[in-house]
Amino acid sequence: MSTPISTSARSPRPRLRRARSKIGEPTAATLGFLLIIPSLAIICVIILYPLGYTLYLSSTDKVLTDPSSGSFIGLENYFTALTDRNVQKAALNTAILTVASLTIQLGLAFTLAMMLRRPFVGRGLVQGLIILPWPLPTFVAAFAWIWMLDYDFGIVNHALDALHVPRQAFLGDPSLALGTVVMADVWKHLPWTLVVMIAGLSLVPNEQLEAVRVDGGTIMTEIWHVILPTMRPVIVLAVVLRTIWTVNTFDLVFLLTGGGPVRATDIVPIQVYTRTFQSFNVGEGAAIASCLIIALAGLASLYLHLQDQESDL
Amino acid sequence: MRPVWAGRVRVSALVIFALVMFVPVYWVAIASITPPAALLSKRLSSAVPRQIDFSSYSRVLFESDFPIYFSNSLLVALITTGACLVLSTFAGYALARLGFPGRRFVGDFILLTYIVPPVLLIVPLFSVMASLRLVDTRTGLVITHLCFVLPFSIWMMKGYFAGLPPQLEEAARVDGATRIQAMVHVAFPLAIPGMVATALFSFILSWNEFLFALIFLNSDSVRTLPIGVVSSFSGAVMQPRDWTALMAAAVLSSAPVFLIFLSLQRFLVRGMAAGAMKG
Repeated sequence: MSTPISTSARSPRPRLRRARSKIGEPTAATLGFLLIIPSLAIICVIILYPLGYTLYLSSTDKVLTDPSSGSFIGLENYFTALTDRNVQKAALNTAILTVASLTIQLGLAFTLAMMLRRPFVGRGLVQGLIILPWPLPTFVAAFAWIWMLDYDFGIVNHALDALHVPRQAFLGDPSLALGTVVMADVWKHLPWTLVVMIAGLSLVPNEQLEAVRVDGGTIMTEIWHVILPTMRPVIVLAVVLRTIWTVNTFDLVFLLTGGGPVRATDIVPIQVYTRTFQSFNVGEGAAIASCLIIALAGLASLYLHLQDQESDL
Repeated sequence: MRPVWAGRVRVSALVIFALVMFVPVYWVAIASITPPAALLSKRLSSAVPRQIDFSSYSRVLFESDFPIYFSNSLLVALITTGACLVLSTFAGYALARLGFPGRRFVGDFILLTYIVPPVLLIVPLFSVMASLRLVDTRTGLVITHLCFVLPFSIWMMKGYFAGLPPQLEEAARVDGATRIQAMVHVAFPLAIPGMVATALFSFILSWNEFLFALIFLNSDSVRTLPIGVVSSFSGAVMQPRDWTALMAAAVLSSAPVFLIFLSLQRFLVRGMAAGAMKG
């Protein structure tokens, strides 16, 4: 593998040679179209159409249990949703969850990746154990945490007892629930972030690190001047994707707490769910979901913009 | 240069951290083989059970619908993975190598669709599925799984192909191969690590998927593991009746993805490194 690896997000692409098409074979463009149409078709059907339909729904007052509903009410749902205290609380919770979980994950992942750089006996096993939560089904993770944190029979409270610290109802106490959910989210998703960090770290050119060492630099210099700049695209990618996924997270939080206690862990996706499937007010649910998408679209555009900037360098 | 003890401190810290990460998994495994009475203890010593009881596994395997859920999950995950692999390999290659007009736009567009929260899609997707008569079927579920597996897979495969040197394919074409032959016989074999990573990713995602299965599957005969287990072994969600059976079901549900993951994880770092760096 002697190909020099580019370190920017989009390296100057090797010019696609306009090889002459042979007789009877499709041109590059035709083949490209053919290969991409099936995927595009599925994406359009499964994502684009429902997206459009959702936007439409958000402008109606449709309630699934009321057949007479469904008339156009413009932006009223948006107004109701954005001024609703529950939605505002859910938005705040989502923000807290995302920022906290991401900060911890990134810090831990980078530190661990650095520590795992040099091989040692049992490194594979240690790495494997840390990455283990990733393939674990979310419902298994949820039940594991619920059981671990159980007030009476959970191992965590047993340990607190042994340390003479009072037992806590981690998931039942409104002041602790969100923090607990953050911990569970970090536990479940740290493996992914770690793998990305390891991958990014593996692409840092050794010669530059050697140069810093020869010049008498410390590990901090190495990190600051070589490692972080080289890993910038990878880190940006990890941040953007993880942010999107954490903001959209539903399964884990829903299974752990259902949004409670008393909405302490209510997040925007759960709000969408409860409005759509418990109040059956699909209009409002669609409006909230649309707001979420708009926010995320802003973030994604920012990422693409950053990527384009990199490739111009 | 660096003091000897720094190495040992580093390794010890890593080991401790790894063990802490392992605790929940350990706890599930232990709980599945602890006799129910011993499980309801208030003492730390319950972490290491004195007696081992495998009856929970027989309850799960022989007295419940678990085998049905398992086979449903397997079917759905395999088909999803297969379809995703084929589609994303083609699309990734097209985006990376074949210059068709609008290529850049399509690439960005596909990534943007990824930000759509699945929760949002439920109601409209439900009506689409209903009109296609695919509600409460595994085929319908496969299609919905594709919607969140496909974008990321295409992106990963595109990144992987973009990272391969084009000289090899060009050389093949100079030697007389058609575009398609160059693609299939040169590019695809080189992309196998990326394909493995993509397949791994899709399978795990599909196997663990909860929300769509919850909404779209109602009959027990087609239910997949996540909702099957949750509904069978809990009274209401969050209030399990039979903890040990639930834990045993959890272990059995996790085993396939664990095994696949452990055997193929070395492809993961390579696949993701390529995908991430080439955007």
